[in-house]
Amino acid sequence: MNKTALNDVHERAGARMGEFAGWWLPIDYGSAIREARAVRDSAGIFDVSHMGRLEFLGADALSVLQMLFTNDAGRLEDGAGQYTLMCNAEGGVIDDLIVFRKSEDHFLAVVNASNLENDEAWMFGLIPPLVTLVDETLVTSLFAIQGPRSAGILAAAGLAEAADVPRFHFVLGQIAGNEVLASRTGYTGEDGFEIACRNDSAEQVWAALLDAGQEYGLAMCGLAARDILRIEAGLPLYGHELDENTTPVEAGLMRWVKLEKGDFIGRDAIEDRVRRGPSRRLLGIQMHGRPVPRHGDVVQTPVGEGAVTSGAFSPTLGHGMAIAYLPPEAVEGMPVEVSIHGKNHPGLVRNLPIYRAQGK
Amino acid sequence: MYPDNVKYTKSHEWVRVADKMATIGITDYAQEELGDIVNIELVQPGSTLSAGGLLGSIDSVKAVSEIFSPVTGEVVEVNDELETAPELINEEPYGSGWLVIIKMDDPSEVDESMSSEEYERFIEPE
Repeated sequence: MNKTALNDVHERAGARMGEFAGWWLPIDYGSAIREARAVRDSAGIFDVSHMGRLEFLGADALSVLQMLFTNDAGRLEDGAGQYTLMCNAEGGVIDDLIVFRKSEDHFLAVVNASNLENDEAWMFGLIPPLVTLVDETLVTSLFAIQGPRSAGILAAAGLAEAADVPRFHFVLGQIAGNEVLASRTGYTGEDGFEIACRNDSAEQVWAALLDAGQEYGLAMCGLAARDILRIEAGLPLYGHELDENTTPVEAGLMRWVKLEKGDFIGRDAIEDRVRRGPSRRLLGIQMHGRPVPRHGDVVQTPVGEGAVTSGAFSPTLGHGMAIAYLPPEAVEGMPVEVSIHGKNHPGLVRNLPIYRAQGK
Repeated sequence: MYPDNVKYTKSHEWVRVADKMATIGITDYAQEELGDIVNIELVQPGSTLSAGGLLGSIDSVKAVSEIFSPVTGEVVEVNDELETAPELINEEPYGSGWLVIIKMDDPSEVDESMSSEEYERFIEPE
């Protein structure tokens, strides 16, 4: 089991720890609901060092990424990033990730912890000898600061330039004398940043951020809050909404597939699926009360059956909520029944995301 | 956190007896293990249950778990407040977070449940 550089810090802070994707991580620091609310109202900080971080180096790096990923990395300038997908020849999603351009021959990809090994195996077979792939996951740490007050906290921690970084861009700077890479990205549906640093700086950077965040109501948050927030924000989690038998067409991710950019792995299959239309669609469900749908629960709709991929209690709505694959004819407002723990509970179809941050 | 005016079960319910009436809840250990409780579904008042019968289910942030009745009898009252405020179970597991009151067929049934000392040993052996 991998442990992050902050394992002792979390345990001292009273975190309830648990296993996720081969890592020992904070699940919550007492109350996931309170942590999720802090992110919506002010800010939260997460240790997400389990996320895989891969660097691509070499003159041909861009052409490799263009072949591996569905989005158009050719549009990236230095300091910019984009959400993208890696698909197999059948168009099935191998992973979803964010790729950043550090310079014209240097890119950084942030991938799912659960897929890191599989991604590397897939990439190694497809990367030419002149492009070097470096796995930085175990030598660096990654923290997410999420919530409306995130930029203020980074400024208070000495990274004033963060406030001017556009969404999906990054800046290199210093926190408490340590080099960091701060990108305006996240997994909560709020404004926020993800901050990477070397493992030997991790404790100092974390402490400086907590310190700066004190007057902003910054809360330490675990994976349970992260899951609630990403479901509210309609963001897919690999293994739930995405897998190798799901194409970006069903998952509603075609905005991040650039069919016109030229050839890439999975292109023909995805084009074909677009032509034929998807057999299911990813949609949201808001329950009438508090019942909590879980992965795998069956959904009855007036136009056929579907299945829950993720569910949680939404502290923001005060209702149970779910993301589900439903028949393609399902539309917002349709009544559904979700079979939860052997009993049917009513809800309504919602477009994703179920929650959208104010001002977006 | 384990008051001695109640008895405890191996499935982490507590029961407080006054005459034939048994008030039932889940223990502090159980609510701590479950984490934030976000929904609860309980049997209807008027239902009759055997000891070990299903009393309801509790949704926490992590998972759904079942709650069992430590005693046999008729459910005479259900804590309605939990419908809109299930977090009371986290906040006051032995107080406002109680679940149901059961009129027991045989009050001596609870004699088999654990005392607070026994329960503490049960959850933290050595």
